[in-house]
Amino acid sequence: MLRFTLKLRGIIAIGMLLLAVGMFGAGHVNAGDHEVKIGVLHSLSGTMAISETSLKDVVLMAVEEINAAGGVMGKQIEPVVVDPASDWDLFAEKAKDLIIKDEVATVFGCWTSVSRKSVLPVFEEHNALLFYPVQYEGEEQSLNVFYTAATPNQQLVPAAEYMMEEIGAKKFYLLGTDYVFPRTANKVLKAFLKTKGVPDENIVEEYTPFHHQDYQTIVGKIKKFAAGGDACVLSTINGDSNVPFYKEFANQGLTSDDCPIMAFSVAEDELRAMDVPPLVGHLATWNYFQSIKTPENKKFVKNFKAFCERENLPGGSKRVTDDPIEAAYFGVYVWKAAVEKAKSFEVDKVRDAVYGLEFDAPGGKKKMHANNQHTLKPVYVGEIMKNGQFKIIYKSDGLVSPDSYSAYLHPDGNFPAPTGGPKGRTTAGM
Amino acid sequence: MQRVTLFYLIALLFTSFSLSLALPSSAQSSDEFIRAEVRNLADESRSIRKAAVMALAKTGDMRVEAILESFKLGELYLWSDVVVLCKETFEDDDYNEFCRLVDVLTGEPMLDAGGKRYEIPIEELEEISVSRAERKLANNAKFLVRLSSPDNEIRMSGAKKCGDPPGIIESVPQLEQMSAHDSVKKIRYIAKESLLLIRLNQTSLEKDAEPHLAIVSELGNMKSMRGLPRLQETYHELSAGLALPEATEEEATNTYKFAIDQINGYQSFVGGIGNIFRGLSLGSVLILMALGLAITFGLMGVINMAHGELMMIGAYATFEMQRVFGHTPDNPSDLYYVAALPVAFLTAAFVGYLIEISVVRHLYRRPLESLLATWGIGLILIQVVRIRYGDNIGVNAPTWARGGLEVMQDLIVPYSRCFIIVLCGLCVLLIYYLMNHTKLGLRMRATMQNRNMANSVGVNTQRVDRYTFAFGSGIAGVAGYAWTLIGGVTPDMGQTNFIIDSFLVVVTGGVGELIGVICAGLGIGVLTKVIEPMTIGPFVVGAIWAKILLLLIIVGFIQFKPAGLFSPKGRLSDV
Repeated sequence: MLRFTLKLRGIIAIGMLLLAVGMFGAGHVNAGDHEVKIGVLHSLSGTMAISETSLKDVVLMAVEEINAAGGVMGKQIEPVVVDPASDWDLFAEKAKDLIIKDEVATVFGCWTSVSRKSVLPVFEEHNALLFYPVQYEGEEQSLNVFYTAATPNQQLVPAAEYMMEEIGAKKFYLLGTDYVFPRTANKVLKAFLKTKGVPDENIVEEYTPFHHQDYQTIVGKIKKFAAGGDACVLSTINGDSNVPFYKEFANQGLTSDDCPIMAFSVAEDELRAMDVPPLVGHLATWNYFQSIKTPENKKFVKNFKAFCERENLPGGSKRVTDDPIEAAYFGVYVWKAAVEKAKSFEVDKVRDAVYGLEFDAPGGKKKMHANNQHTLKPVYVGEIMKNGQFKIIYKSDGLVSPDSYSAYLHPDGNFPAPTGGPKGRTTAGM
Repeated sequence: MQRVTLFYLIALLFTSFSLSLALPSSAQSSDEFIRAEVRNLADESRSIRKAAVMALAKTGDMRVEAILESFKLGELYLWSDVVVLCKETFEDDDYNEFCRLVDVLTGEPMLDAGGKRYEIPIEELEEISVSRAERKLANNAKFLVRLSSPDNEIRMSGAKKCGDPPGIIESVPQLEQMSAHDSVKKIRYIAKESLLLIRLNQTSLEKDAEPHLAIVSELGNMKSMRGLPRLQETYHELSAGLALPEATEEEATNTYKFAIDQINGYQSFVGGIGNIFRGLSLGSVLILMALGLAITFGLMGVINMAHGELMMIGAYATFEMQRVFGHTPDNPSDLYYVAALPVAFLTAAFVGYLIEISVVRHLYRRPLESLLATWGIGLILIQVVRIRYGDNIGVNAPTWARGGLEVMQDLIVPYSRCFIIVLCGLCVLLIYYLMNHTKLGLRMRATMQNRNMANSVGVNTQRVDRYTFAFGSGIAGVAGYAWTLIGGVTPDMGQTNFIIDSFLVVVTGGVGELIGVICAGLGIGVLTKVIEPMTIGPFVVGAIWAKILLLLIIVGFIQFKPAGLFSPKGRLSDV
């Protein structure tokens, strides 16, 4: 009797295994008629966990909201969360797993450019879709990615313009961490400043290694550079180097009146980790601030805090929202709207539906570009306040259209063709 | 002699006190006047608006700064012929936008006759739009107001901004007064500097060369760093050729050149001293990081890869104390930082003690295993802290550690860095005393030099091991505690910032020698800070190349002296 059951069980198990292999081999089988899977590809450990964890949190919150409201086309969303651990080779592997094994309809993920570049061939090979929520250096346009954050002309150039015209800055100290975003950003900034007639000797460009901690010499140099009273710092310093930089800046007696620092990588979430008094009065440019005073945004902020508290995430109700968090959040809604418009989960149809899509984000109305994969967004300049929030001191008139390739880096107007896209297309430029 | 100084000090304090009290009251003007001028900010005519901004600025009333800021940001509105402030709107259920009115002058909510807050539909408010030129004017006016502030910092920033290009001419009378009579020497200096810079702009070299050049030499005598960029600019124009009479041109060139050399000479002198201080400061940070390791690795021979994490624990203990004391920038309670020192030491020492009894004691004389085991412990500690605290926490420096002391003109020494240098010195002295003048130190040295012999004369070597490891860990905790003043706190700070530098210092200094750690720390610190600002032709070394060059130098050095600066003698060298 016992033996028989065992045998029977064995047969059933083998049968099921065969069935499973058969299904897998057959390819397209839905996760269930009532569910659709999406991938969440953000580092939850390693050096980038500090920034990326919040994006995973907000994507899950959007999913929860959508599911509570009835899902997408009657289907509940089932998020598949993986941890690529700040390791860019692992990003590509995990992306492959999500696309092939889990057969997700789309993926939300990545923060650093190097991780995006690492997964790009995977997405293009399998004609899958990625929503990328972080401001970056541009110079890329893949038909398999939708970029929901800023391009250089939506953040860097308006910021430099603001410094020249409103603050009256004539000398620019471009200070960054040594990797691809600051290097490209500063190339764009330099080209822009030159077209505005800023002479070479009024632009200084300097880089520090990752995790650089000793800014004594650099602050000393800035002090000398800014002695005339018409200089500013445009900072692309990344991550934990910001803390010692601002501390040293304030301790050597420099204030935002003497030499304002315009930062491109300091948002509300980073300010949580900082001793804020030395930063008060300095500036940042983004497309969203938590302090935007619209009812939609207030609701969004409240919901996010409540979500973090309910889910017992570190920080709880003290958590804040910022630009990448907003971009990650509305990315999910853009995908939902496109699916509903296309009445299909198929990547090619969804892609076409995204083009030109108008939608309400927490920070106000926004629009997807008609063909270049990026997002039309407003530009804000904010001044850091004592409570770690930004006072908005400038807002662009309407939405600024994104340039995937900067006109300042391609003065001849020869922009490369987009890469990726429907199968059968050749992937150019990879 | 001393008594005279004291008397002088008291007199100075007294006068400064009475002066700062006298200033605002004399400058205060009536509320009605301010309200009338604020109303003019909403006038149709551009010239009246402009006059109102300047009139407000000249009142010297500190409340005006906030009004001008609101004016600049477009937060002022006209409502039934009164200028009101509206910073925030809200919506009712039908999406009608309302505004809660705030009084411009007092910043208090405006109440109607029944004592209820005015909540006005946004359509009833008339926006006071501000052109870019007016924003600039309001900004300048803001600095003008600051000149009358009783607060030294604010008054100083006002004096500085008034002189920055293009210069605020309206500030001249007040700057004159300040440059002669202000109670603070530094402010007198800055006011004079600003005054000269404004006058430099007003007098052209072509028309009135003599007063112009007098100003130039004055700036040179003052060794004015703020003047330098402008002098250089004109000097370049001069050498490019200006339409001047030959005699004037020669005189102008000489005067300019002399003044520029004067300033540059002083600046490079100050810069040199500054570099040495920076080197000392970096060196003391490095020594503090390496001291704990010098004990656990240097004396005990344990390759302790969790050393960085022990420092991280010290930093988080400081954060925890900040939380216990409720210290925030707005509501400082500086005592927390005093209390955090023993707590950081004891917490890290306790964790070190646990590591020793659970893992390390089984691995003495097995360096490879202890390396791997302690590295694993480090990873566990990182993840435990990450789960407990999340990634983003900030330690707020106590108020006394903010800012710095201007020891000489243009050389500011941050208080936080001075504190670290002193703390580092104290730690070195403590360790030296403990090692060489106490029984415990004697037993430690005995155990490390010859375990069996120590055992046989009655030393409980196991206990000594535990205490030594805990003590080294505690010193690492102190380093983490000090670090919170100048750097950030993250769970993986030990791996990204500390561990490599610590080993670098200990290995360069010579394993097992306290003096080696001190010399290597200071040497590496000063060397880095001397290399970093160097320029070789058109090439500026900078932070990245400084690091590369330094590593190359150390690699080269180790090739010739594998045992480090001070190689240990006796049995330890065999280990």
